[in-house]
Amino acid sequence: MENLRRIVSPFIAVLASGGLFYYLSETIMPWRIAFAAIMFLATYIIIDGFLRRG
Amino acid sequence: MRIVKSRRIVLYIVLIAFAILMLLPLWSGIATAFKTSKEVILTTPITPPLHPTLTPLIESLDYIKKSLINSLVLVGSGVMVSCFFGSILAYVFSKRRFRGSITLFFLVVFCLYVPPQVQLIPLVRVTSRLGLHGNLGALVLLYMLFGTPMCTFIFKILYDEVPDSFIGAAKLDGAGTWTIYRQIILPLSVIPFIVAALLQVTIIWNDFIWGLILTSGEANLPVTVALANLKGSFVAKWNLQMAGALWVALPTLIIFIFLGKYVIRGYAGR
Repeated sequence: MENLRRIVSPFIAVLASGGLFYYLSETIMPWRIAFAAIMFLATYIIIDGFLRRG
Repeated sequence: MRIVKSRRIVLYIVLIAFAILMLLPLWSGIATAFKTSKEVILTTPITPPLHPTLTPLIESLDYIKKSLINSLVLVGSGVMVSCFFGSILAYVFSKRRFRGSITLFFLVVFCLYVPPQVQLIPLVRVTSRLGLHGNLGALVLLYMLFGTPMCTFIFKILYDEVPDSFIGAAKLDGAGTWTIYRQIILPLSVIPFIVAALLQVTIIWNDFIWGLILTSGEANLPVTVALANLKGSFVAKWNLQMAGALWVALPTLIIFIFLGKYVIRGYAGR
């Protein structure tokens, strides 16, 4: 479970933030980076926290 | 006994009548979505489609599919980030009280009651200054921030119920604020996360005004604004509009059917 958590949470976070970064192609670059970074942080911490439950 | 039975019959008749009244618009929407343009003109909205067709559903989906993806991206980013910020804020307000924290909490909750119409012009100016106006970035930022007060409120109600002894024991073990949040508070927050996320999904998905004001160009529209654009300029294509409305209503409908109890929990503040 511990190993799974270490792989799953960054993987989903990278997927979510990468998706957001790719999709906001019309937004100026500093904002794209900022949104993707916040998304990565939020997704990683939330999923990591939930997986700790097990 | 007889009086009780007759009362119950009257009650059921009244309830059924109200249920029909409530479901009539939904039925007329579904019926119209499956009609041809000719049939829409020749029949009343509640008449069942005589020659059901899927063309309006396919045509409307073709028109709003980009907007559906836009709305999904907005919902995903808005829900994730606002829940994250909300849970951190609620943790601080609930377990790390400081001087003025109650006032600050009331100010955060006060944000829930500021009507969007008041914020229209300031927000348009702010997003223009930030270089975000006209594209999806403006809405991403808006939903990330505007969902935070409600999430804070929901999370604080739960975190108030977490015994302080948990936090005290963790502190004795040498855990800091961040460790306590990540290892104790967050694993306990699955249910409030579901509740807050569902409320946010419903709010962001159904939002119309911000999408209308802050975005421009067909590629950037959220689905509600794209749905409004489905109405023709000279002829109203009711079947297309109703089919589009069905597509837009589908995700929230599914959420309410399967996870309705969590949504009610959120509204009840439990």
